[in-house]
Amino acid sequence: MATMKFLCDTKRCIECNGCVTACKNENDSALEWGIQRRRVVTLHDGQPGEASISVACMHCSDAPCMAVCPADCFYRTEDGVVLHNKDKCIGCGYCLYACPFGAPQFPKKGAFAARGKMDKCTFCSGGPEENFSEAERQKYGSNRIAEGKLPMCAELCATKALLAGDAEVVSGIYRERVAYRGADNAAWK
Amino acid sequence: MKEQKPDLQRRSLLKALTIGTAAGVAVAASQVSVAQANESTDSATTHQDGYRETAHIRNYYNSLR
Repeated sequence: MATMKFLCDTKRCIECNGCVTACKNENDSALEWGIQRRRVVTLHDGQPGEASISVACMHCSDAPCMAVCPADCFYRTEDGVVLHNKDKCIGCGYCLYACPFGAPQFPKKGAFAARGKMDKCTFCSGGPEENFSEAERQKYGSNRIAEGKLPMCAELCATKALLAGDAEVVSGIYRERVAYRGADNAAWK
Repeated sequence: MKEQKPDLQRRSLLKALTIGTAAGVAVAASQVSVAQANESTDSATTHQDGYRETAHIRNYYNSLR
């Protein structure tokens, strides 16, 4: 049984934001104004040792969002992808407080700063609705996993910094890279 | 003095009520277990088209090396 994971190789990320754009474009049907599921964070910007990392939901094995949700709207697929049911979400925002990556996003157009349904990266694997249905497309975006593909952000990454897929394969590829180039300042200073 | 005999008809009513209640509980329990089984099947099959290593994905992995 494969477990899906993202891994960002900070030595290759050039902060082009191509992954952010690819995600927005692929899941546009589900994204309300102001929501972006993925973003690029740069550390030591403009200084020696600058490093960028592409961040979205990391589909944690022991997901804190899942633990704190009072509406119990999160579930994990057989592939280890953490998904949520927007029909159950009450917009309380606990998942945002709990998430160490700031992955949960909320619509920014609500009156009196009211939160709407939470949105987050689905690893391009849709949601609880029927695969390829209009409801799935409108609420969760694309379902590339069911198509036999991987998330658009990773597949479009120009420098192959953002890796996605079976955790064993992805970690093996990263290990090969580190063995080749050495582990000096392996991630960032 | 006349001997008092119990009216067995009344006891059969009680017996019928007991059997009926037990049967009702058994039917309800079986329906609940069927519903639970359906629920678990639904959650298990939500993503029947999950990850599998297709040619597309193999090409992607090869492009990373």
